[in-house]
Amino acid sequence: MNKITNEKYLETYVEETLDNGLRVVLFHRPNYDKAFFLMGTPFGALDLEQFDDEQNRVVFPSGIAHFLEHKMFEDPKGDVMDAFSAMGVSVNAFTSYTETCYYFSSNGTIQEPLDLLLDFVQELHIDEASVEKEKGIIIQELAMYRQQSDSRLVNETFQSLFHNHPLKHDIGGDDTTVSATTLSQLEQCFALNYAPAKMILVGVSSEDPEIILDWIKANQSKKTFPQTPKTKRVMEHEPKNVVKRYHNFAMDVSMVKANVAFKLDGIADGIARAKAEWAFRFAMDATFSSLNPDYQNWIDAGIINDYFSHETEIGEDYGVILFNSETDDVKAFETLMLETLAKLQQTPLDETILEQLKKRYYGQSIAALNSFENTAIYYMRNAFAGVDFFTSLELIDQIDTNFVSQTLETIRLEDYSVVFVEPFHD
Amino acid sequence: MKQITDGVNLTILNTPKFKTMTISLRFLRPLETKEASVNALLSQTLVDRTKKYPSKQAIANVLDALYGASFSSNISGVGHAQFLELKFKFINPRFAFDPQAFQTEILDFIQEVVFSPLLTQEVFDEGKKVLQSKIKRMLDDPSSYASNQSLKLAGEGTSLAISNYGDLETVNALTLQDLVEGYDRLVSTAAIEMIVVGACDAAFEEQLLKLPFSARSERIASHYVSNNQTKEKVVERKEIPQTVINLIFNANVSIQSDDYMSARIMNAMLGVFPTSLLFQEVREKQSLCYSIHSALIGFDSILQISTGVDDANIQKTIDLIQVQVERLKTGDFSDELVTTTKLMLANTFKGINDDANSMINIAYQSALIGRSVYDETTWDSIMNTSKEDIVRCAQNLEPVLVYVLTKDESYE
Repeated sequence: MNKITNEKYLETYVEETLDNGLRVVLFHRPNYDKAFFLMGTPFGALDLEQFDDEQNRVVFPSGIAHFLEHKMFEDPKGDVMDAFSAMGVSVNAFTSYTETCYYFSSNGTIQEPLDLLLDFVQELHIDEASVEKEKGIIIQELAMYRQQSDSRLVNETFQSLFHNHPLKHDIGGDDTTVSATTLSQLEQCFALNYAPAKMILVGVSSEDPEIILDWIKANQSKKTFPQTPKTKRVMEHEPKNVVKRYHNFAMDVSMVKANVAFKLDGIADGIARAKAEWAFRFAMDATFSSLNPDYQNWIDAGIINDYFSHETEIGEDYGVILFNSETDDVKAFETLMLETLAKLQQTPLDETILEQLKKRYYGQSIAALNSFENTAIYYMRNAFAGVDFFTSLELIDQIDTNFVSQTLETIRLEDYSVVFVEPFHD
Repeated sequence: MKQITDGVNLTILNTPKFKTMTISLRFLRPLETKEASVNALLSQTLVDRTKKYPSKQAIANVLDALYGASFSSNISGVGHAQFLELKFKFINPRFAFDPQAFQTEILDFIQEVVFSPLLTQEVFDEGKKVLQSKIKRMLDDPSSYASNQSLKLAGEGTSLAISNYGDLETVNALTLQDLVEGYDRLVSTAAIEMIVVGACDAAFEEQLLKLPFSARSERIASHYVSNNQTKEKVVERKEIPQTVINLIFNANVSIQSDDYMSARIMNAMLGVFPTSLLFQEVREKQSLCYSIHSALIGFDSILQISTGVDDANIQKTIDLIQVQVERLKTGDFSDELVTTTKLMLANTFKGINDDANSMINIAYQSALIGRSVYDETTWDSIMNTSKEDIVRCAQNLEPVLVYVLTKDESYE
């Protein structure tokens, strides 16, 4: 068992990898009634083609990680949600592009729900009928997201950017792939991706971490697992260029909302990736926000409005910079983003702004640690990326204006798509 | 609770456990269409710039100097009234390089925002444009549109029908003069609660007590018990993939009464937790929907049920929802559901003191209704609620409106 204390952030956690390979991390937060525990696997919506143990290529329908997430809650002894509820504990899960995660939040007991979390995530109990029944629920869930213009806009943007990369599919798949998902595919998915050595368990509570660790060991020692399969995502070849430069569609909205999205290369190394993301964040926050004196003019001209936002996301084999706004003039929005980025690539970031932003991010990191959920999820994501928790918080100190400039050079100004949603024309 | 001056109270919830300190200032005013629009616009402009920080850039600079402090404003309805909130969140001063100086800067900033807003034509015009698009954006989302419409139709002629943001026509007609008058009402007549959560030392408290507010005597009643007439079913058409259904009931229970906790348990059994009747019957057993909720709007004494379903299942879902409400009224539910729901609800309450925003909300609600919403007796009062109490509350439910938003032309 490894105990780590950080004076700067006033945080303590213990860490241990169990005999079966499960990595356990327990944050200690005295004076709280609340406890939050999550269990995650680095298996997400992008993992549609995997190599299994024997290097066979396995192909799944899109949305399968999300489908499996729904089905994990079934148990021969009754519904898992009911069992948590009977303890007065709330449980939930989410599926992202790169991970599936199950968690509970309790204001009382810990051992009982923790046992249940470990049990339901480590066993799959489903049959044909229960798989069929779930399809209706998932199809309604997808319909709900489809009628939200913002989430539809993101999906349509990814479809315009990516030829082969699985990002072109919605996390939940679509009605056809959901309907086509079979019992045996779900079972295979589970066998390949839910072994203890693949997963991480992160807890945040006021309980003594050593006591919790004993509970977890007691639970795990009763179970045997098949040998851990060595899976790997099949990386599709993805051309540098985009599928479509321009794309638009109509919905029952009152204003035009547009995305201007640039395609970046992925970065395989976790730390290099995290540093690049920070560099982009410095540059984008300095340029595409009110810190830039021109920003007010862009608003006054109606090119962007108060809902303007930007986001940079980089994965192992993909990267995207997304600019989003409601706008009176999509063409002007496109031109503005292009010209500003081009200028940004030529101009080093101001040192004063860099220091100012460092102060902002330091304060925001501290504030984010207030949240048990943020702490646990942040730890998990860093762990899957192979980055140490406190190292990741300190990475911003390593960013200087030179590194920002180098990172900005990786933007290819010709590989972008403009996608917008507009009101129906009568 | 201490008084800064007459009508301006300070509540300090001192705790070392958070890494941040949160300060909420809540200005209470009657809920009326025009003033709601004015207050919504103020909530937009007050956070945009001030006299000393006359641009977005200047505001961003000062917030960064305060270690990325966040500063926001919003509007909420509370029955016959609404409040505008100014919320400041910054790191616990112990994480600052110079804690003393940091506290002084925070106080200066709060004082600047509250007492020296920049209400010029330019700020007004921009704020108005943002508010207009905010309202449109809200109405673009089918579920918030449906929720808004169903309350508006159910509560015709009452506070319930007034949106917190007023409405587009009213916003369009506002002038700078309206904004200035609205600000004056807030800063000189509205009852103010200032609530602080975090590690707050005596010196900081003393400074807060010295904030230069003027005395005021306005007292506004917020909560009431809605008595809406039963309306005909309303079906509206909109080109959306999924049908949204809302059901509205008069709950006939005062938020101030002892029965209110029983009503909360009843509502939670109906549609708050995954064990609830609606979630189990409509989603889990029939696969009709993904999300389904029931909400008790305490300050208006209204119960609202909402869900999204396939066009083919509209009537089937409405019927099934009504069956669940009937089951509550006739006591047709298991003891296990009661026990589980009580435990879930009691634990939700227990979580309040672990979250600064919840602590602020509870302290404010308690101040408005004049009784403690959460204290050491809460657990017992939940556990001691009987099946009879719950059934009695369900029997008080009066249907007011069934509202359907769909693209399906054939459904009537």
